[in-house]
Amino acid sequence: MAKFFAVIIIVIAIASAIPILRHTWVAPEDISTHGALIDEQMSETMAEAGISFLAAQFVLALFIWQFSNPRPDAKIKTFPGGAKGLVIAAMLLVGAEVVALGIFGVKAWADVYFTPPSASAMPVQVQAGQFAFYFRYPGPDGTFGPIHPELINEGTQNFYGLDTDHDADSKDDIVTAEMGIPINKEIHLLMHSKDLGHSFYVRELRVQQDFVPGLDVSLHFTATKVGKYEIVCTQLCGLGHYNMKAYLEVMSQEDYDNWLKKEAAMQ
Amino acid sequence: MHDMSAHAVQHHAPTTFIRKHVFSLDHKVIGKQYYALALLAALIGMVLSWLMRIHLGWTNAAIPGLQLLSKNGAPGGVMTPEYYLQLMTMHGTIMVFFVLTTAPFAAFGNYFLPIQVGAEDMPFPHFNMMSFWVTFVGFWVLIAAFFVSDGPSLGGWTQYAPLSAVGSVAGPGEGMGVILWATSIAIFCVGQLLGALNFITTTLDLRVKGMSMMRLPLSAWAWFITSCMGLTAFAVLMPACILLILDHVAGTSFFVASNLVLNDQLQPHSGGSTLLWQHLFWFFGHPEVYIAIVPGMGIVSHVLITNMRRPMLSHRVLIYSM
Repeated sequence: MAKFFAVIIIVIAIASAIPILRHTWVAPEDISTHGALIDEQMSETMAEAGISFLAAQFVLALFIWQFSNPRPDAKIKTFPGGAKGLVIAAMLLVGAEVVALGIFGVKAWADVYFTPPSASAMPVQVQAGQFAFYFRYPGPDGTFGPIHPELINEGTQNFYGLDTDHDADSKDDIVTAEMGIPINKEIHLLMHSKDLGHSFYVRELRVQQDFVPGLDVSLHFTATKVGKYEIVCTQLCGLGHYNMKAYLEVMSQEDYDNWLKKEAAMQ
Repeated sequence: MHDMSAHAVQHHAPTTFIRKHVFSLDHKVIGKQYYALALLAALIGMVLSWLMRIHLGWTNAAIPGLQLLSKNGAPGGVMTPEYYLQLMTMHGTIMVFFVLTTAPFAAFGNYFLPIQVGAEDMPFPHFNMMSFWVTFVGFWVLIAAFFVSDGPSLGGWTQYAPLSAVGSVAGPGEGMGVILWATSIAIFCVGQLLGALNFITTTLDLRVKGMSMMRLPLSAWAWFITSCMGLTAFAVLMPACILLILDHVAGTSFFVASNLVLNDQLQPHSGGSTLLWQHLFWFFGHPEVYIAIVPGMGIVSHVLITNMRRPMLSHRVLIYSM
């Protein structure tokens, strides 16, 4: 029975490793400049954890197989050097694994969060609210107009609370429901929430960042492939959360200029 | 110190049915009561997960009788997306608080800890009794949320603010549902604090002569460590829940930032912090996962070495690692 159990452990361990080794479930194609680092980090973590997992399962199965029916006269064996050596070895091994992952990971993290966007990055604002995203482009003057929360009104389509009658900077702001960006251009995303906690998640961009009500959060990325991608909310925000999404359209510079012109005309 | 067990906790055998089986001071009976409560909670949580699974598989299927539980949440028995979230919140809360915490910690610990350290009972039997009955009340306060007008909260078991703090404007169940949730958890925390106090005192003061700390069984160590963690964790969660209730009923803004707009209405809150709730909650939430797992580790180690008839490779190392 114990030997059968040992075999079952091996079978389960190998079976669960197969989909990982065959890349059955892979992330969608990466379309960002920083994504390669994150993907690398993921596969390194997977490899380290996978090797430890398989090793642990094999050792467990081996011990069960070997020591399941000891002869009554068999001598009890102890680990060479006693428990102390074993514990120190295990701690060093696990510690080294965690530190190594940290060292590999620090660059991926720093690339996104510790590096400020370049001066030429294109600013785009995103506002999350129950249950939609709205995007704002500063228009020809390059400046966002001030937001007046008390003026926010979905009925009159003033999603951002802009006062175009009094604020000169707001007059040329362009508010859209879809996010259009030019390809190979760094985007400086300025995020804020109008009501509750939300999240900005684009799988292909390898970007997931929470909106924190009351805080302005900023993020920067560069998209490298033309296409239409889904932006979804991944922070539970109420009854319509499951349906809260928008689209990110990455376009050539020319298409983007035309798109923005069309959006500006609709304001 | 060890002599205390001889005098302090001796009480007469109960004579009435109520003292014997309901408001019992006996740690074994209280342990069994906790276990029964955990089983009931597990049963309810499990049924909720069935309902959620059915909704995921057959989104528009009518579940007969569900409309009796909530007319708005499941008109004609067909679950709405928001009712799914409400069931999810209740499932998570019931399972984490009333199963994962009560069964391994309060139930088994109450039953076995005094026996293992050689005490006749817990040092504060009345606190012990209160601990269970307070938890019991907390459970029914949580369940009561099913029967208020717009149902239980839909904010998930972590109840992130400001979704949980702005009131019913944020969605169904975010008014009364959250108030009942926070009340229930605050009450639950009181129960667990009383329990933790008893566990710690039992382990430190009521050990039989010769039972040094390092001779304690691994499961006794596990419950002792769990109680120490529980003492700090629940002592933070309880005030957090009270602050959350105040945001609802007293017009405070502990967890709500300024200038939030819901349904085109500027919210009458200012100056609070969304992150405050997350810090307070996870000050509880992180130890909570160990409160749930450490008794299991202790019990497994204890049972394993007993049945193998071998000593642990190193008793001391396992204690330190817990």
